[in-house]
Amino acid sequence: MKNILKLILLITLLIPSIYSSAQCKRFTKKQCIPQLEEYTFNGQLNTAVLARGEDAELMLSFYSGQKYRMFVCAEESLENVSYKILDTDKNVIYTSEGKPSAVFDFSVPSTQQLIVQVTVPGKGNSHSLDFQGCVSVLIGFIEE
Amino acid sequence: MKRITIAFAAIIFLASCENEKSNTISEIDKIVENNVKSEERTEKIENIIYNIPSPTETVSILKRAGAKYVFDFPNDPLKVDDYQTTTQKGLNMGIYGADLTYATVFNKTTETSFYLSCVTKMGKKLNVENVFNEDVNERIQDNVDNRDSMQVIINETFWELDAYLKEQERENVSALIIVGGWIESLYIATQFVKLNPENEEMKQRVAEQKYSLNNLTGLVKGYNNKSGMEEVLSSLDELKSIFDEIDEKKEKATNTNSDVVMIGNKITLEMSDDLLKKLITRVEEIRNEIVN
Repeated sequence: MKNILKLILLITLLIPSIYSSAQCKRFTKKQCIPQLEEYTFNGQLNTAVLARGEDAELMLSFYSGQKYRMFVCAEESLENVSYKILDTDKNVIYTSEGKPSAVFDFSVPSTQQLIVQVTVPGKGNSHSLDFQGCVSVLIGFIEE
Repeated sequence: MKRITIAFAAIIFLASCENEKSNTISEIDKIVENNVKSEERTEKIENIIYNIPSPTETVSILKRAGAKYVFDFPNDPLKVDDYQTTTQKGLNMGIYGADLTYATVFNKTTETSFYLSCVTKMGKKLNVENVFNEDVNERIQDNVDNRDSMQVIINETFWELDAYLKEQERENVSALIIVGGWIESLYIATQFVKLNPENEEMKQRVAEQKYSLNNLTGLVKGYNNKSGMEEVLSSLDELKSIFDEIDEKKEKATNTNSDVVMIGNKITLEMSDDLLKKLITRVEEIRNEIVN
């Protein structure tokens, strides 16, 4: 009996984690990757399950001589997700706020690290699945 | 937090209907404690994500800098059965993945088949054979002559692998694969520089790997408590100490001769010949420790 109870508990504990991970993967594959269009998806998994009021930070490096497409793809339950790109001195060099699309095409003059800060606005309620969603930051590249 | 809440509710429910309360609760406490620790670690890593360009992107850059396919550079496919520990299997999966990319980018169809076979075997050893399944193999075999399609298939497959390992809470294995892929790409680049010391563009591409290494170190630090990771991190730290000696000059970028927006700084990296030699030697040693 004890073993059965332990098993039930373990399943109860693990299901939300597996569910959100699998859901995030399906969402990214179906809704996000196609938006890279002619850009070659770099194959890197940059995803996080975020709630309203939460943010995530990514450290990425980009090569000179390439054109990049960055797409911050968020599930509909997370409204108005925005992002900023910063250099390593923390200067903001791009913000998606006020822009019509979450897709941003750019290049860099020299190979460098950049920081991407993703913010989900609003007041968080991490107890509810309705307030959580998957955010994927996808990078595609193409020769310049 | 939601997982903690569910766990808490489950404990109350179980405790109320079980006679052997104290023992059960103590055992459940341990399970919950472990799960919460794992949750905290995952959240910490998830909210600061470190990533580096894929081997496909790096090898493509090297090709444009003048690299050629040198048959001696990739790992020996016959060594595929030698790797036994999780660390060896993870790192060498990354090594063979980069070798597969190297063969693909240079349209070497025979070598592509060899390294595809290695990656599939390593997939079985890592219990991720459902990612490197028959469908993927067929897609690759059907497109083996089409470099662009091959790159897309390889990138998507490694993405599936990364996602699958994270679903299985085996992020440390995913990190090992990324490290192995990066080391092999750097090894190929440095070996090419060794053969062609006059190629300044290639030297520059090697120096630029300092940025990927910064991110890679951040990624691996998140799993430093896992077996084998300490050694991997120590090797990366050694390389970092060499890369940190590269002179870096930053200035505001003025060149806008591009059809897309240009962002970021203009950065000049200067690496002395002695430092380059030191780097080539250390990369060679670390890479050979992994494959031998």
